[in-house]
Amino acid sequence: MRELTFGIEYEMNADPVMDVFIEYPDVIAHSLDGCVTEDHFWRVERITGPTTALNRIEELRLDDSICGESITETDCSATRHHDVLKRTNNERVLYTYLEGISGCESVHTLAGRYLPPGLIFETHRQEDRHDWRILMRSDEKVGMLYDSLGAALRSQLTFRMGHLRDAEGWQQDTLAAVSLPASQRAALKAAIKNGYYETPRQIKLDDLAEQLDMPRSTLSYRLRQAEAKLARGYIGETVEE
Amino acid sequence: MAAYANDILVSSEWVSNRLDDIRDDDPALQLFEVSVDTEVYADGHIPGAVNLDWNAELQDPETFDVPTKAEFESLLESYGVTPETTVLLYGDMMNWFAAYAYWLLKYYGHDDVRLVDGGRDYWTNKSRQVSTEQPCVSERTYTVTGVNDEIRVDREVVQDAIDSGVSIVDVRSPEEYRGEVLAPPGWNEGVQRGGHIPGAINIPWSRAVSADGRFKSPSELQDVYEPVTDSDEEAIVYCRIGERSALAWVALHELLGLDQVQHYYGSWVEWGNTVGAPIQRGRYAEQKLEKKDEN
Repeated sequence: MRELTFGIEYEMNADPVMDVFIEYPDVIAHSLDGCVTEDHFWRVERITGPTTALNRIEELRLDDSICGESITETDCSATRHHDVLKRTNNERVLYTYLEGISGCESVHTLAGRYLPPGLIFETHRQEDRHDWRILMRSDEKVGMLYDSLGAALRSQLTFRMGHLRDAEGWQQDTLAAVSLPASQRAALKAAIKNGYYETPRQIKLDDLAEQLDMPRSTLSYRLRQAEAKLARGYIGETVEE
Repeated sequence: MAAYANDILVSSEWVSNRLDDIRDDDPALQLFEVSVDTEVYADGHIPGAVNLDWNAELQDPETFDVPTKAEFESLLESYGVTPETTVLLYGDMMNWFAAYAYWLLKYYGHDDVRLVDGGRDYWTNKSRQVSTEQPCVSERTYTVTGVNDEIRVDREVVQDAIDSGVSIVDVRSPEEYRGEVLAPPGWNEGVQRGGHIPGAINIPWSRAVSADGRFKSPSELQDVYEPVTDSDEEAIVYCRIGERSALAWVALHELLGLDQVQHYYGSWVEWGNTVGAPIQRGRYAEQKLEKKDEN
C-alpha cells in the first residue's frame, strides 16, 4: 500500500465550505472518503467547533446549488445525497454521496481517473487548509494525478506537496478528534514542541510560560483544560463547550 | 474575435466531419493520439487515430534527447506519413503531449501539423464517436529535408540569455518554480536543487487552456502571456523535462505569432542538475527532505 499526502490552501471566497473554516479557526473536520468510480464518491466527515459554524456548514452541504467539491473554475454537476449522522452543539457528522459528477474536477475525480480502484482518502480541514492522504494499492500513475491536480487548481487555490511513500499507520481516532479552542491548541503545540511532554520533561512549566510570555497560571490552566478534553474525547464522553 | 496568428487548430466538429477520410489509409490525412497516459488509447480513441507512445517513440531513451533524424524518419514512415501529409494530433490532459509532438514535427520541418482543440477529454465529454479498432496503415517514405534549429535552444544559450532581456518562461507549477518540490511524485524526474533559472517568470502551462481543455482565445492568451508579449525580445520556454513547455511554445509561437520563441528541451532536469548553473530560490534536496519529515 502506498500513500500520497498533500494540502490545498484556499483564499477567502474561493470555496463556500472552506470559507467557514477560514472564518472560524476553531472548526476542525476529519473525513474518510472512498471512490466508487471516477464519477462517484462517498464521504463521512466529522466536524467539531462552534454551533454557528457547524450550522452554516450543514446548511451549505444540504444546499444542492452549492458545490464545495470542485477544485477547478467550474462547479460540479452531480446528484448529491447528504445525511446528518450526528448533530450536537459542537459536533456534526455528515454523510455525503455524489454520483454522476461532471463538468468539473475534484480530488476524487482525478484520483479515480489515474489511481487504481479501492482508494481511501483521509482528509483534515482547518482554517484555510484541506489536507489529503490518499491510500492506494499502486502508485504507478500517481505522477499524472500530481500534474493534473496542479493543472486543474483554480487560481485562488494553492497546492502544497507532502510525500509519497509506503503507507504506514492508521489514524484510528480520525473520527473522534476533539476540537480545542485556539488558545488551548497553541499552548499544547508549544508544550509538545519544547519537550514538555517528554520523559523526563525537557522544559519546566515556568520556563515555557516565560518563553510564551504568559502567566504560569494561564498556561497551566490551558494545558489542563486541553488535556481533560482530549482524555474525555478519547474515552468517548461527549465534550460540550 | 481576433483570429489566432496561425491556423493550426482544428475543432472536434471539423474532425468529426472527416472521420471517413481519417479512417482511409490515405497519406493526405493522418490522425495521432499522443496521451500522457498511453493506456487510455486502448479504452477507445477517435476512429482512425494511431497511438503514439511519447515515452518510447518521441524521445530517445539512450541520449535522453529528441529522437534522431533517422529515428524520426523511420517512425513517420512506419505510420504512413509523407512530407505532404496533414498530421492531426490530440491527446489527454489538455493536449499536453500532443503539443510536444506538434513541436517535434515542426522541429524536423514537417509542414502541415494541426492540433485537435481540446484534445481527448473535450472529444469524449462531447460524447463523440470513439473506437477501439487499431487502423491499418501502409508504410511510406519520409525524408527530413531540414531541421528547424530556431525553435530549440540548449543550456549554453539559456545561460547567455540570463540578464540579456530575453523573457524566460517557466511553465511548471508554482511549487516547483519556488523550489518546494524537487522530485515530483510518480515521475523519475527529480533534481538535486529546487528553484528556477534566474529571471524566469512563472506562467504555468495550464493557463494557456480553458477549463474545457481548448486553447484560450487570442485576447485571453495575450493577457496570460502579457509579460512576454510586451517585450520585443526573444522568449525561451522550459518546464521539467521539456514537454509541457511545448504547449506554451504552441501558444506563443503559433497562436500569438511571436517570431522568436524557443523551447529549452533540457529544461529543469538538465539545469537543476548542472554543476555551476545559477538558480534562484534554490536549496539542496536534503534540506527539503528534512523539512518534509517534520510535517
